[in-house]
Amino acid sequence: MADEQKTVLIVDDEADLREALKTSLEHEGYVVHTAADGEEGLSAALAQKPGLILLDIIMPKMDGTEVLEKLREDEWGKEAKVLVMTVADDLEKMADVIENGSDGYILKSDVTLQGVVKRVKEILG
Amino acid sequence: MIMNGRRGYRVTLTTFAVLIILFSGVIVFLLFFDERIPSEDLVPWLLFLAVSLITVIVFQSFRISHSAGEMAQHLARSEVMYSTELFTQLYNKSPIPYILLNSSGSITSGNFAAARLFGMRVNDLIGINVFERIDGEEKNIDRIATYPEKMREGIFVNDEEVRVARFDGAYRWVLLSLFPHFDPEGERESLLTLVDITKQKEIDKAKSEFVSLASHQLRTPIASMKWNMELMQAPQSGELEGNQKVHLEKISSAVSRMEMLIEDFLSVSKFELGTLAPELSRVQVNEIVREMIREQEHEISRKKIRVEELFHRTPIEIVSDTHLLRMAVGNLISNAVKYTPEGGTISVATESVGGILQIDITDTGIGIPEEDKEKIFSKIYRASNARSEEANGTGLGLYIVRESLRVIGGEVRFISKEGEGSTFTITLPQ
Repeated sequence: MADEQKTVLIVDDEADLREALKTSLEHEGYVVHTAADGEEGLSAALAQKPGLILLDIIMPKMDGTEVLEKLREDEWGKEAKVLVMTVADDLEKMADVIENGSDGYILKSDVTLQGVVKRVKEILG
Repeated sequence: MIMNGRRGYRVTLTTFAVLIILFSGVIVFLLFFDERIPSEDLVPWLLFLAVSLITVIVFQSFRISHSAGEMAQHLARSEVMYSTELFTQLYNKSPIPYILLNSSGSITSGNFAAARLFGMRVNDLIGINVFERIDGEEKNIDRIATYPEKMREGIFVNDEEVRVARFDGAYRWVLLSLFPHFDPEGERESLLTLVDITKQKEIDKAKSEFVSLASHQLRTPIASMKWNMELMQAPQSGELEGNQKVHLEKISSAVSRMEMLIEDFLSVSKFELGTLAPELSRVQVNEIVREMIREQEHEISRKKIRVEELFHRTPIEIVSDTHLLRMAVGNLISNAVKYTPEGGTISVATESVGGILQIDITDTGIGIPEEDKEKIFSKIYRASNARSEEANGTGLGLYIVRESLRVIGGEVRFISKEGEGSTFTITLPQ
C-alpha cells in the first residue's frame, strides 16, 4: 500500500529525540506516528502497520529487543521493516538484535538527523 | 651469681689496698714529725706509699675499664636479643604477607599475613610452589612467567600487579615484590611480599563502571542537543537572525567537545575494565591516516599548518581493529595539530618493513620537557608546557593511544625536544 510505504513509526522514550526526528521526516513528506515506550510501540505497530519502524532499545515497560521478538511473532510483523536506534555501542548486543531480524541499526550519538532521514529513504525509497 | 662473687672479691681487694695506704701514710706522718729520725730514713716509706698509691690507681683504672667493657658486651648482647625479638615480631605480625622462597620457588617460611592471604595455617605454607599460584591479567601473563628466572638470576621485582589463587578457590589481587639474595650458606633465597589490593581493585572497577554508565547516559541528551541544533540550522526552520548563528555555532562546538570527552571517558573505562575485545577486519592503513588528517582539516587550515603525507608507495593492508587504530592515530594527529604553533609543519609517514607497520607523526610543536617524558602516557597526566599552551585537554589522549595499541598488539614510542617538536611512532605487527 502506498500509504504504508510513506508511514514511519518512531518508538523512543526520549521526547526530544522523537520530536526532532518526527519534524525532519514530516518535512520530507513522511507520515509519522510516535510511541513513548515499548508496549505502546508494539500495539501502534500492529495497529498502523507502518512502512518502517524506528525502534529504540533501552525503553521503559518493554525494551526494543522484546518489541522486536513479539513483532516477529505476528503475521504482518514478521515482514515489517525495522531500523534499530541506540546509544549503546556494544556491537555484540547489536549483532544479536540484527540477527533477531532488524533491517540495520543507527548509533544515535554518531548520526545526524539528515543521516537518519537518508537511511529511511534508502529503506522506504 | 658470678657477677656478685666477682664484685665481692674486688671489694675485699680495694679495702686491703686502702688499709695499706692508710697504714703507710700514718707511719710516714709519724716519722715526719719525729725529729729523732733522720729525713733519709723517710725515703723507703715514702717509696712504699707511692708504690701502694700507684698500684691502687692502676688497679682501679683497670677495674673501671674492664667493667665498662663487660657492660658494653652485656648491652650488645641485649641489643641483639632485642633486635631478634623485634625482627621476629615484625616478620610474624606484619600486616604485609612475607614469604621466604628457596631457589626452586617453594615456600620455606611465611608470616601470619601470608597464611591469611592463602587461607591456610602458617605451617601448611611450607613447601608450596608459590609461582604455581600466581597469574594476572592477560597482558601481564608473559611478564609473570619470568619471575622464577628473575629469582634465579637475582633480579628484583617491584610492585607488580598479580592475582593469587587461594586454597579455598577464591582469588586476591596483590602487588608482588621479589627480593632475591643469598642465605648464610650461599644458597639462593628470596623474600616475596604480596600486598593485598583486592579492595582497591574493586573500588577501581566500581569507579570505572560508574564512569561507563554515566557516559552512556549522557549520550542520549547529547544526541538530542545535536539533532535539535541541526533542526534549528535546517532551512525549514527559517533564517537565523543577528548573532543567533554565532551563538548556535558556539553551542554546537561545546556539544562536540562534550561528546569527545564522553567518548574518551568511555574508552578509558573500557580499557580499565578490560572489556574491549578487538574486532578484527581488513584495514587500509593509508586510508585511516588520511581520514584522521581530514578530521583535523578545520584546525589545520585555521593555524596554517603544512601537512606532509609521506605514505608507503603501495597501500598497506593489515588485519586489525579499525576503531582502535583510528583512536590511536586520531589522537596523535590531533595532538600534533593542537601543540604545533601557527605556520608549523606536521609530517605523517607510513611504512611497512619486515612485517611491521610503522606510522610516524612528526610535528614542529612545543615538544615534551625532559622531566615529563616518563609520565606522558599516564592517565590524566599533561606535560607542564601542554597545560599552559592548551587549557582544555583531559590528559587522556596518550593513555588512550597506548592502551588501544596494546589491545591490538602494537606499541607507541616517541622522541621529543622541548621547543622543537616531537615524533610519535606507532608500530604494529602486520
